[in-house]
Amino acid sequence: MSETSNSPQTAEQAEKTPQPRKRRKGIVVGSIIAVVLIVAGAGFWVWHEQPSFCNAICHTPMDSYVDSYYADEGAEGSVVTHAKANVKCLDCHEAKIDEQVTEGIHWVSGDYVFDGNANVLESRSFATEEFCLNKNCHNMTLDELAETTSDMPWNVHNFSEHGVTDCGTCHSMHGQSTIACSECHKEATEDIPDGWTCIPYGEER
Amino acid sequence: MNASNNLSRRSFLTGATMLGASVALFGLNGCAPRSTADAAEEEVDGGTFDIVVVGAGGAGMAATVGAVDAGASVVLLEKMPVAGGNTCFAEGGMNACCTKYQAEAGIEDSVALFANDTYEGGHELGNMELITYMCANSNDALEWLGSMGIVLSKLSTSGGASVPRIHRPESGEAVGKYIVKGMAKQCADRGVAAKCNMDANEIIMEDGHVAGIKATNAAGRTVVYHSKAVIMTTGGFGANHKMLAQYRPELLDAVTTNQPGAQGDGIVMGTEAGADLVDIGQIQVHPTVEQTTATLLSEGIRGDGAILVNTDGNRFINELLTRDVVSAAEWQQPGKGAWAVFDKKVYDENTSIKEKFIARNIITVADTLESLADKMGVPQEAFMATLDSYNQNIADGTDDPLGRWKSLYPIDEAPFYAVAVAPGIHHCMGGLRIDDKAQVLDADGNPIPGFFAAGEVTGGIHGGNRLGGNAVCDINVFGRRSQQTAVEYVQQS
Repeated sequence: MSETSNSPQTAEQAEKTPQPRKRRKGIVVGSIIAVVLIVAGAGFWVWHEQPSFCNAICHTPMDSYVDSYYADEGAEGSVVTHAKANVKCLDCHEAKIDEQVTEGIHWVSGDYVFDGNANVLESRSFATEEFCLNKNCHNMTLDELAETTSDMPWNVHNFSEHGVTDCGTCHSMHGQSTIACSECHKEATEDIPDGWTCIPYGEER
Repeated sequence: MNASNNLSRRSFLTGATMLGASVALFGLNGCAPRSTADAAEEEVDGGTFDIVVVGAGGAGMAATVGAVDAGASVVLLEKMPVAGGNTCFAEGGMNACCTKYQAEAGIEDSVALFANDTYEGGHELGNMELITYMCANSNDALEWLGSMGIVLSKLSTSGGASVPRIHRPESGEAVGKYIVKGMAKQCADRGVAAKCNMDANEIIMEDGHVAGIKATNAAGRTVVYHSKAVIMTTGGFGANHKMLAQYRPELLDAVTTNQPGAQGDGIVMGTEAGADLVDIGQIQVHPTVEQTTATLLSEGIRGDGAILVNTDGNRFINELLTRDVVSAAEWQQPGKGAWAVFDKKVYDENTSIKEKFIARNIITVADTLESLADKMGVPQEAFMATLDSYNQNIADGTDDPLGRWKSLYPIDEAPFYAVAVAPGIHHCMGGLRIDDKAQVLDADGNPIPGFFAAGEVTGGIHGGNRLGGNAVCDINVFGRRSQQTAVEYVQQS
């Protein structure tokens, strides 16, 4: 009786005692992994925020863009001005996980268009009024924008005759910015800001 | 601008996921991308719509606004960086008859009188069916614009019109940019702002009917828009000198008042889709174009009182005759041009003088007529004799020896102004053959199913010469008409 009554107890005890040790070990291992992940994740996040991240992996398509970000003042592309203001790539190219995964797949499978001569990707202009004129970036209305350049002989931001155009029509972030007004408005050819060019007046398309 | 510098749970998870994803990517080599040359061959789907409107000038925007209000799904394509097209350059106003503004001014007008002026002014070459439709619906179109806050309430006189019927903005600003500004907003408010930098170049035809449009985007890719109907509102070819010279070789080197996008794209696309052309060689030269900048001096400025004086200091024609007649007379003068001369009264009525001519420094201004003559470099004695005689005849009520019988206002209020002008390419009267439902017709006179057109791309209304104020009338009346027929067609098919 005692044997039969004892043995389950012993077996129970034998099973019970090592369990807390295992659990503790698991917690420690888990904590270490978590800490490593946190540190790595945090480190990765910080790296991910840097422009240099962009061409570290996707080096072929991104090199010219990252170069343009770090270019000296006066180089073409308004990305230089943005860089001086400490605006990072991801402030405009917002990091959305689904888009990034899709882009990653496009990169791996080669499903994207690259101009090997100019070292640029196919243009995907998204610089619209809504995109650029917002409370976190250029916090102003179109009228206020026009006011900022009202001292120019030809106010390039006065769109009253045409409704509006996309900012990206003239402003190129990673290439030569070009005033489009001048194709029809001769006055717009006469006062071109430094670093800018313009479409010749009356040019046939 | 950064979302947050603190490491939130979300950003940690994002970072961790990115880490995992990048580790996975590190193990792989990216495949070679496609070249831009390869990509140019690929077609991008632009979407499916009831109607594609090609060209965001006055006609295209009128068609778009009307079609959206009628419940159709519409996309509006524009190859230039901004909306407006040649409408941006319309200076004078919009002809319309039997309007409340005419009634208020006590002016008696009728559809028949307006139609007859248009037909006679066009050398009896126009299609009376189209002309009558335009004139009969001109007041509706004027009221329709007014209902959207685009008010053309200032009545004036224009060349070839029997009665004052050209309607302009109350402020005196040029009509074109006023309409474009208003209509661009109407389009945007309806969520159909023009897709700019989108260059349409082919009508897709399937089994003899329209099935969409192929266009080239800014990146050089072909974008395919699927639709049951296409409304072609691409304007004329007044900036395509090679095309102009096919019909009028002497225009190869002439200056043009047209915007550079006016290349005749719709004529080319339309004929490829089987459209017939009408009056295609009828090209209007405008008599008062400043030659160094191709800036148009509006006909309204003569309508408000300006005269034309040659380099000898003499008038040579009734300045209010039709554009072709006045242009031909200018070509006969020494230097093949003339001076448009006017005073403060005219300046005050036309803001474009300050905005364009003063701003571009292409106008001569003086406090006396004598010093104006000196600055112009014309003989002072002859010039003064011309002006004195002109003013004296008005004061005496004597008939003008050159037959000018309207817009007779003395030129006597300083400062005085003069602009050197000569003829310039202005308007293509010919184009795609349409009926009064704005359906595009083939060589047999049958409508091409799903193909509609309005504005300067079409022909048949203005015949051999367009009257000032009739283009703005045409784009609004037939812009609306094309949309009405297109919406009916889409609903039935």
